Amino acid sequence: MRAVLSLSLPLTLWLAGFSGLYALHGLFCSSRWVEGSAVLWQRPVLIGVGLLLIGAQLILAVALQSKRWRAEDRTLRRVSFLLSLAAAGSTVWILLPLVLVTGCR
Amino acid sequence: MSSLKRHRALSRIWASDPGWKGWFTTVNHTDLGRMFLTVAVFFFVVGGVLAMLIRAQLATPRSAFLGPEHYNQVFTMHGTIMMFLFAIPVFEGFAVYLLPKLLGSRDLAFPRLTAYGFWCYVFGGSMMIFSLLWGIAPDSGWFMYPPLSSTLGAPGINSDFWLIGITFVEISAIAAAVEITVTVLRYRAPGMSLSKMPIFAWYALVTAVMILTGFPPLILGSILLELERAFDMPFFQAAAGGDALLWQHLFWLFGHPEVYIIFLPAAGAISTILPVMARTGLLGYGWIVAAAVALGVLSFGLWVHHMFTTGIPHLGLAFFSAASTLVAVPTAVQLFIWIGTLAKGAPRLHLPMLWLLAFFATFVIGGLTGVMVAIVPFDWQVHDTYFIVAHLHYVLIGGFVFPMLAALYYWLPHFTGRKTYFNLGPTAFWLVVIGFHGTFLLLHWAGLLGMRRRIDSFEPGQGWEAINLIASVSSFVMAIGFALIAIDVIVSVLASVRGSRDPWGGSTLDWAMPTPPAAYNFASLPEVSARDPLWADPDLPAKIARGEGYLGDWARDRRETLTVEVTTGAPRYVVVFPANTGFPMAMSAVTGLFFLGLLTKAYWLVPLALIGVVAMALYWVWGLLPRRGEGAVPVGRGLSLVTAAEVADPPGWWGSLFLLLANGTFFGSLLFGYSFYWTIAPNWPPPAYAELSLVGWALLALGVVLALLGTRGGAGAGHALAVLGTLAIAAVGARVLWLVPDPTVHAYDATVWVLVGYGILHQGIAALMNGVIVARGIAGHGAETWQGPARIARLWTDYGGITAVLAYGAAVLPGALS
Ligand code: HEM
Repeated sequence: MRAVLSLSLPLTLWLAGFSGLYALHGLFCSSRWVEGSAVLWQRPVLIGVGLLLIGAQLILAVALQSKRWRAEDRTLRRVSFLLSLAAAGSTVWILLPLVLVTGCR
Repeated sequence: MSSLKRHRALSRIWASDPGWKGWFTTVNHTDLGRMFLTVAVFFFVVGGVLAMLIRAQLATPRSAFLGPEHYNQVFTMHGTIMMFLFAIPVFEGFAVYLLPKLLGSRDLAFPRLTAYGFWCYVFGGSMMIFSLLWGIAPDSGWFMYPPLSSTLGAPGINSDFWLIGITFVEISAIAAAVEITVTVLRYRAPGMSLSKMPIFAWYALVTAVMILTGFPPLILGSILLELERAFDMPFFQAAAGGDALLWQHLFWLFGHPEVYIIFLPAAGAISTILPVMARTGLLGYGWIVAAAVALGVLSFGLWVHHMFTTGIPHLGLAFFSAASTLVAVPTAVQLFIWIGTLAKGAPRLHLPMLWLLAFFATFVIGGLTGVMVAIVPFDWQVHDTYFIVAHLHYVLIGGFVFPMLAALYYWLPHFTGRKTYFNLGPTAFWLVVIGFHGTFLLLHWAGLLGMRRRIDSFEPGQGWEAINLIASVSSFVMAIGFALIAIDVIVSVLASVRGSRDPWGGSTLDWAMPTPPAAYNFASLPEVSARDPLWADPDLPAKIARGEGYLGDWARDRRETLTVEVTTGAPRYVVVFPANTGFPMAMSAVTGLFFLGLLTKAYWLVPLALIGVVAMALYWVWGLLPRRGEGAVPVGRGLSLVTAAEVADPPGWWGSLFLLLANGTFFGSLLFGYSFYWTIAPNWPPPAYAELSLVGWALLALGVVLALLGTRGGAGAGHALAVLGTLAIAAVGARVLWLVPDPTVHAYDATVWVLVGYGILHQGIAALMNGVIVARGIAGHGAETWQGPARIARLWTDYGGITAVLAYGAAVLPGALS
């Protein structure tokens, strides 16, 4: 089962983070996040959460390759590594809109 | 012991009942796989006829062939049948038929569940067909958006057929998904580690887990919409705190993964067939596994791209647009690996290969137009036009139907043990491919010219006439092609000459048996040491027939197979399968009465049918429970193993685990819906919130402690305490409902009823399970058989306890905060 988990965890973490960020964004918009107003903490918070997610992805990637947690099977270990990279890359990719696009319009 | 004697003995043990009775009592995966495929093809024909009606209507402007009401029913039923009654069941059919054969097992994990799922599919599908024949079919489009599908836009019974019929059919998808997941993880040939598993099994595993996590949001949405329609609980009515947009979220949380649920099995078939056609091993096995898993998970992060025109803020749009472009990466990885495999090998242009080439050409176009509509401004232009209709058919027909036709022709000799007779295949191939592109390529253009989808007629002079006429004529060419395929297959099944055992030189275990396959699959279960076992050891089929593998001895005179360790494939324990029975069919018929009662508003029938289902389920479970252990039994090759009766993780425990995954997703979707109302929906807060007193909280805590600790006691008395605990938790739920007496007032009240009802329902399930364990103690079942069933009861009790606390907590939280 450890092998199955090591394959499913990285992108599941991505999915949880992605949905969490989207929910947070919805929450900010419903509590009147107005672009250009004096209070501009929402975007930094979203970006901060995104960066934390990238950190978590990297820690997970290292943990899943560590002696303690890694899958015994070599092929599965490689697949798990590929998926960890994919998850970290995907998190960076979905952060771009957070930096570039206006909030609630 | 001669091979023939072994064959006769095993055939006697595993045979389905003879004659027509066998259709209703079989629990054998080979029979049920064929039955699934046959019924799915029937639905494809019905969906296809509806498609022809659509194209006949749209061939010329101002056509009066179908009136608007009929047209709405026809396109809705076409989409619904193709997606729910054809595409998913075809996957189920192939998986049910093939998986044990590919994995080196004698059957799927839960044979009676397979049969139950099949009959739910047949009865649910029949409901839908009935509605079509009586002219009262659903007519709000295959995604049933409210308010068009709610009583406001569809006051008749039409939408109810969809909501109730599809939910009934989905039981079969969930059952098959549990079945497939447990089978792939545990029911493999000894030695077949995860990384030696045939690639189709990886795809089936990912798809099954996607069904378990993708279907529950739709089941929830359907239940909510039906509750609104039947009892006026205002989930999707903005005036009373509901929000129609929630339906779209729930639908597409299912709907987008659904696209990959349809595509991934096809990709699995391609990854299996293509290397055989190219006479070489699959390049980059690990990359393909990674791509399948990545697609499976990423596809859950794209649902909002179907809602780009609903007024979602720019950031949200950009977010989902970015995620949508991500899926192109694993898709491209697969495509390049397939192309690389072709380049490495020496491909033969047999019929399955022709269909794979058609897949490449078509699916790449569908994929590219997919990337186009993932770009928000472009999507705004083409949303709800024929560009989308063309795109979705390039993906669905190119990415699913063509590979499945490759699979059909590849495994036809396996199904029938015969050669094709007329060789109509190549002619049919060209008719379908030319007809398909003639129909849908030009429809992209019609969409760009502004032709909207779901219109029953159009005015002349907009530049659409020629396109539509060509599309319609081509669609009939395609239909003739499909008819030829049907004739080809029927003649092959009924009347042609016997073929060789392995006509393609396949590498997987499905070709290690005589064809058509015997009911027991393998005369003895092989030891697997390579990813392509038949290429590694061409003598393997003979060794299997000679009984040199496991369980080649039939002295115990019962249906047996082996399970293995999940990762390594080391043998673990023996499973004894049930005999033929009509029970699953009878139980699905009673389940059908439950749904029929809801549909026809004969509410007196609903509790009766429910009691019937519960009683039958208890009878089923009781029959499955082991009475006595028998210690380690010899399984061949000098090995002895215990049976599932004496282990802590019997198949039922694994099945429960994955069923709870689906159940947990359902509950998660409910919590998502609730928080969506809370934060987004207009007209909140409600007039009043429910609040629970300290006594209520104390009773809840006591109930949870009793339930959770009771199941850990390890004895009948402990489980009796657990029953008391579940009753206490249910009583607290009843109290919360008492505080919210009218669920029609506001979406909050309605949601509390569903949340708390869910909590109470699970206490009922946990109480029944613990009651069964107590009854086992009274009936004197052997102590050595205790652990497995007790752990299953514990799993459900824990789940029920945790979700009840979350559900009740969520119900009273806003009151506590305000
Ligand atoms: C056999 C050839 C087929 C033809 C000629 C065809 C034709 C069409 C046409 C013309 C429409 C648009 C109806 C409208 O918007 O008014 C449509 C819709 C649709 N088709 Fe097909 N189709 C075919 C096969 C399939 C298959 C195999 C699938 C799925 C596996 C499928 C799934 C759908 C869906 C989901 C819709 C949308 C229905 C809706 O808007 O509610 N079709 N089809």
